[in-house]
Amino acid sequence: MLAAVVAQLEDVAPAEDDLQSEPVAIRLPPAVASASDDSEFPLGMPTRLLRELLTESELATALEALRDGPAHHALANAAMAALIERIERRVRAIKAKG
Amino acid sequence: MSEQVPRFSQRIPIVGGPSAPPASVREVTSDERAIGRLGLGSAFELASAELGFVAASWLFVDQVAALTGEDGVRSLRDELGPSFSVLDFVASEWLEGKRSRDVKTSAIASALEGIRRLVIVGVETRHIDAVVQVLPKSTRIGLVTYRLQAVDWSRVVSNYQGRVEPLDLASFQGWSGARSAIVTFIYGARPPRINVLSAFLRVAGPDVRTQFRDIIGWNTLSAAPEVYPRYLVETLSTDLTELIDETD
Repeated sequence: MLAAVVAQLEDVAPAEDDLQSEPVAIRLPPAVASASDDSEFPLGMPTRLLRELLTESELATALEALRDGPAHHALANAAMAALIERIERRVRAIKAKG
Repeated sequence: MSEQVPRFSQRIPIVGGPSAPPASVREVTSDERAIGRLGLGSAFELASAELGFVAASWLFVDQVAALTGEDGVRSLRDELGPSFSVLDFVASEWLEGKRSRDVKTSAIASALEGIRRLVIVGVETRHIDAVVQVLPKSTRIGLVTYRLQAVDWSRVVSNYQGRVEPLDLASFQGWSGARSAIVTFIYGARPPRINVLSAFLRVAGPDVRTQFRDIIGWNTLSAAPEVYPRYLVETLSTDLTELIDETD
């Protein structure tokens, strides 16, 4: 649904820099995860907008809440956060364009 | 009394799928008899399991062509093609004038840029040899040791002198991460449908698809085989993040 909203917004924003994000851990069983020293999902939790809206301590709490629970829940939160950031960025660019 | 040589005597018995075309009523040639006597079915089964369908097909086609020319390649295709769709395809390509060529690596090298761990699903030695050459030494390369055909995995992996590590289905997810990729081999594509080894379906479940930066299909054939692909399964190209064409 969020992706549909993104698609309806004219993309007049400048090219996107690398997404500011915090890693979302892949919670594999320990015996399996031991082969990896950076077992995290390719999609991280976007933080640009959260940093604008929250204090440092609030950000830490928000990140803990968003990344808690089963891995697929955390990944879904990351996907939604990424789409919300994109919507905000496009709305901001459209408003700036007038 | 003429020599009785069953034309499909060396075919590996396989259950299921459409039945093989009936043997031609014409007389077999001496070349066909020679190939039939060699027991190439069993040899190709082993070679294709440990070298890959494409690598083994070109090896067999090139060798048969060198020994017996066009008639021999045609006999090889008629004898083993119904069981091995990739061999049928490669032999047909040879008969159309195409020849084996080096594996192109520019597209796969570009797709794997920045990767720290690569998980390879399926065996195609010419392609694996090529990718080993283009990846930096710091990139770990693992090979999933699962295949429908019987494989001596220690023999396969030992060819790479430690550069390629064996990974079983219980351990490959330990290689997942934001700088990890899976590469599998595609045996012809009719988008959105692609032919893959069943091992890819064992690996690329919904959980795994989110855990790797890239899931790349490396097409090894210029088109999809016409013969029923007994050793392959069909899936959708949407299982992949990128499909690399064999000509890229």
